[in-house]
Amino acid sequence: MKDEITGLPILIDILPQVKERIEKEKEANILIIHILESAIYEEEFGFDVFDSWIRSLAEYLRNFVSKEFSPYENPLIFVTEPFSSLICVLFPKTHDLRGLIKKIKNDIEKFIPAPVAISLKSIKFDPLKRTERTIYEVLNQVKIKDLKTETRMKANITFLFRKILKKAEIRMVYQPIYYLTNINKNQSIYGYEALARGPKGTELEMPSVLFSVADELNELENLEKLCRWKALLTSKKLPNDKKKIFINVSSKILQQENLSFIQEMIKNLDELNINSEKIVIELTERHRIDDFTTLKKNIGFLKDKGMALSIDDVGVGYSSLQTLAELNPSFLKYDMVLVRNIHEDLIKQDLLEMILNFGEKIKAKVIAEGIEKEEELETVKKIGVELGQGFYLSYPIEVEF
Amino acid sequence: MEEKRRILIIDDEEDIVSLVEEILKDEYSLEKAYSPSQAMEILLKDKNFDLILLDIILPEMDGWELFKEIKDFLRENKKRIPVAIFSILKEPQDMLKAIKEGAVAYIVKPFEPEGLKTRIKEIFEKL
Repeated sequence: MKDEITGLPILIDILPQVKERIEKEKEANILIIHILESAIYEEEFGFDVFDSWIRSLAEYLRNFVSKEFSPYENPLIFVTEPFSSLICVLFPKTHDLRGLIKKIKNDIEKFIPAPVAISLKSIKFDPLKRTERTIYEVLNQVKIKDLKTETRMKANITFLFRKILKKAEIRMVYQPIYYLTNINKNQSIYGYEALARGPKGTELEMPSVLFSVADELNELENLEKLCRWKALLTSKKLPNDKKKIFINVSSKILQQENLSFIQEMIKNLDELNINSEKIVIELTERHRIDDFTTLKKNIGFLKDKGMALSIDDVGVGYSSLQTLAELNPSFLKYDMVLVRNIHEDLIKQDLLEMILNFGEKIKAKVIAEGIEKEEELETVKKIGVELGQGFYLSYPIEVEF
Repeated sequence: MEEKRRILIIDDEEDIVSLVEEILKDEYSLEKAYSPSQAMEILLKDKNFDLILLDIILPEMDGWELFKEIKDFLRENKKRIPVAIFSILKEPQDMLKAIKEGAVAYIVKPFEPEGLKTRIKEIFEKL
């Protein structure tokens, strides 16, 4: 059996082969490449992008192996488990790869944004031990080492996060949302989504990592508060400040019984003299909503003040369309994972069409997120989407403050 | 004349199967299975299909489970046959699952005859 993602053999199936090699050659080297923090990165980029990294890694290793080794060295590439983010290459101990680790790391960093751990180990035959267990022992040692690396990274990140929060080191960038029917860079902007970024060049620059760390440290509320304030404050510097501003709010905050979020929002708008009708509250649908009644009530308060509701991550969330309809949103954001290569995927197209029909029924506008290619833009336009955002249209813009 | 493309349809609703057959029979050659076990029986003997149309609500076993079984079976036999999901379920979650499991299309029942024809044509164009 082969691993579905990479097409590589799975250790359990080739264990006899691996065992035979170690027993015959008495010692073999193994190169282990492991994509770390897979949970965070898969959530940020989506499963199919994450799959594509693993696939590229497998492809890279196949190429590397065919260039680096001669056929009689018979290097073996395999994964430890199906769907794993860890790929191994077993090769003769006579072949020294130590000088190449840095180059391999550099190469891989070019196509995988997640941290990658590379280990080089040797597996020695021991007549008193069962070779199968020796193999698994080596692999487990590497996995434990990688886990420790992840823990250490987390500790550094915690420290960094506290500093960011204390010193308010958040930058806000604004991703323009365009009318897709008539794309003219300056005239056809419908609004902006305010996005938070951690300090440049740090592990917390990516908002997904930033927010998931905040959630883990129980600081989500504080981080969001800081982001909302900054978003409103800097939005005044946007080139055209008549446009709508989409502001992200987690469903956790909107499920709180107390009204502090709503009061704070109204106070901020008042102080900054921003018309509340410009504000669109963007609610992520990625986490399960437990207290729907409170959520609905709070959204009602915001709407009474003139703000509109947008639902993020539509298509990949937990809620049924019926549940979403009850919130009466004005915007539905079709998730970027589903826009990725939509021109090649009939199901993604069908799903978008279905969301579009649903939007029409409940009078919500659909916004296609994460448009990164011309073909993606053409396809979502053809299906009838009116609004869109993504790097192909424009990178988020920074406003100086 | 070019040989017709072969489709295996797996659906327990006989009416639907005959309707699909009626719509597609001129352009495609259809094989029918009304249960998971019948589907596997057919595939054991004959793997030369160009497409499998799979209903995900089936007796005996869940259609997703059958999908997995078919995928494993084909992989073991080094064969690739695209699978299109055929279903009355139309929540995003079901369609997302189809993408994750590697289906090539998700056809929602009930369907318009012309719509089905176009969709099948599109599937073959994309392959």
